[in-house]
Amino acid sequence: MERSTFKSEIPIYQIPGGIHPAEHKTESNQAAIQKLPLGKEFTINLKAQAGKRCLPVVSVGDKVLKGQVIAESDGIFSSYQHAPTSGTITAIEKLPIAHPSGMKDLCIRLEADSQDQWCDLKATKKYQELNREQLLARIFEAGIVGLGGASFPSHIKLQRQDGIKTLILNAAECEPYISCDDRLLQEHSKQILEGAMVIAQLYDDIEVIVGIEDNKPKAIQALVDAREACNKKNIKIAVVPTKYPSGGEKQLIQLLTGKEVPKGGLPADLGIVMHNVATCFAIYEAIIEGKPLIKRLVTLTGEGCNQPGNYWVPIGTPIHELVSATNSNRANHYIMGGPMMGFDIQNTEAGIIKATNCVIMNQQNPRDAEMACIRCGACMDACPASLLPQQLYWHAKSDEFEKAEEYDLFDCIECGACAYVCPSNIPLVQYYRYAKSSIRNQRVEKSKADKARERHEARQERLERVKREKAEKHRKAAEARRKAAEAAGQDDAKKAAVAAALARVQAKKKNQKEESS
Amino acid sequence: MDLITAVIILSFLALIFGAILGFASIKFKVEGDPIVDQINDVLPQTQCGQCGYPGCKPYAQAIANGDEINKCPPGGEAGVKALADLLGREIIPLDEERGETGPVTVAYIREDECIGCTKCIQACPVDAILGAPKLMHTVIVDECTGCDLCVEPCPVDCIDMLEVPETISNWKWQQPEMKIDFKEVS
Repeated sequence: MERSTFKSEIPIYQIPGGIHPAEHKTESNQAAIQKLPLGKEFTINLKAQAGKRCLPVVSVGDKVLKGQVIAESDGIFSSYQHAPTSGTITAIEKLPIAHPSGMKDLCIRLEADSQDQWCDLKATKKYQELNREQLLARIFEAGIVGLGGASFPSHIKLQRQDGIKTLILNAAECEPYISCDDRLLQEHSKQILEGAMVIAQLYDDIEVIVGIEDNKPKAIQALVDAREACNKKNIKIAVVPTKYPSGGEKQLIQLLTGKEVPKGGLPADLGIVMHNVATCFAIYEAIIEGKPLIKRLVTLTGEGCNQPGNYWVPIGTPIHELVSATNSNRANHYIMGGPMMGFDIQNTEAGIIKATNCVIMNQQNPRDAEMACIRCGACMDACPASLLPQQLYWHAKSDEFEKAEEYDLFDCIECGACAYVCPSNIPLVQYYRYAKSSIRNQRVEKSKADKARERHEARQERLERVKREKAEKHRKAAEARRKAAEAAGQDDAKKAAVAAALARVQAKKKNQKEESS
Repeated sequence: MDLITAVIILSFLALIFGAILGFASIKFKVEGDPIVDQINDVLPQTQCGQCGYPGCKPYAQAIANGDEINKCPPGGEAGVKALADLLGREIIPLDEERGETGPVTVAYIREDECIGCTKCIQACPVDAILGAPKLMHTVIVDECTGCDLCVEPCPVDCIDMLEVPETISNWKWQQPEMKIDFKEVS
């Protein structure tokens, strides 16, 4: 593939490991961005972002306009969902979602009325006049999440202000087949840089760097031109050599700064905040045009795709509509995301989510049989996180999760470089995913068990206390009775004494009478 | 002379170390039996009593006193393994008489059949049932350990033990499966 000759404006460091798989980008990055004909039905997944599921604010039968809020953020660590087009809500129920499990989850189904009529938009040409809180609130309300793949709510990432010195725009797009960021840069670099300026305004003084791989010469040229046009000379363009996975957050930071994100830490600990270029574009649209995040650029590609290219796809568009729109009836196997980190789509009814950067359509290939690990160590050389993949594999395979954790299982970014180089075709990443999800479930169980123990102990204590209190009450009652009885006894004695005294008096009187008479 | 010096030095050292040990035993005294707490930590805290003891802690105490480690069906094979690791004992198969390791369940009260007798409330070891005399009861699902103890006392049999369904949040990856063949040389 063609390489850019543009010289990086900042020094580039090295990352360990990495691989050079066939890029397969030219299939999709040659044609201009296209629009799909408006679909009839949309399925919007409410748990498509990192954090909590959003809460629906519409009911079945409601008419909604394009861009109207249909689900609200549940607390701060969640996001908003908006109607991708105007139409009627036809269902709020468990529907197939784009998830490796192939399960159903709560979704909103919207039937389009083909009017595609926008609701009122709050456009702000002069975003410079908005303060930090207002900008963050707009970004939050526009439902912006990281579009690079993790769907992390952007307003949370942007919240931390102190110590942030560098904003990195991630345009590396290192995974094979995917070219949506490339194409977005080629056609919308100006808007992306505007979006980056909006982000930069949230910080007092911030350096902006665009990190991009050298296999996107046209995108780099577009960036340079856009920078010229908007007169944003302080934005630096860093061109990194093409290698998978340079686009990983930690990897790109290491490439551009030479620093490693500390274990269990965040880029913010190094004074860095990173956003994908597609997220910057979404922020531009949200602030300057007032449009919420209801569409994204998706690469449709793969051997089975008849019209590969990049398309604006409304969030919630079912996969089968993408298949029919590109006449890809040869395909029978669909992957959401790239070939390295993506997952199989089991039900094409599932809708596109905000994280869907690519759908690969191809024909199902039988997987090469997994063979025994020969301890060649190729995976170790390929690992960009400097882990020991074969150790992790042994421990994950034999359910020794604690040991896998000791070997820093959770530092694995699941890039798949180890599995790619494995001569025994061991699907290593899935062993790690298995181990990770098992550990997560165990942690949940453990915290549940701890809670059960606390509740049980509290109950035992309460029963004990009730018993003690009862015993105490009985004791007091008995005492009271005893005292009462004693008091009663004393009363009798007094009465007897009085009676005796009276008797004596009477006897005396009687005697006196007898004497006198 | 050498002998006497040696004896004096050793006695002196013995006194010093004795004093240090004595001080440490008072200063760093551990209340309770730490091994019981460690065992209790491994047990699933279902409080179901299937082990024959009235709860997890008493069973932990019994294990510490030498009882077998295979009497906890909710803990399953993994629980036996964890206990064996902790105590340095042999891994033994679960005691089948105590019951089988089933899927995780929670109690569910068919509320319109409930007569409000409070018997299940008294049986629940973790106070996960809510209700009042002659008023309907219900289970706080998140707190229920699935111990089964409320089913027996119910005079109208309106409590079911339902399996916890797999959802997106507790779904986990299973056996690996590879995607597409992208092994071409670039």
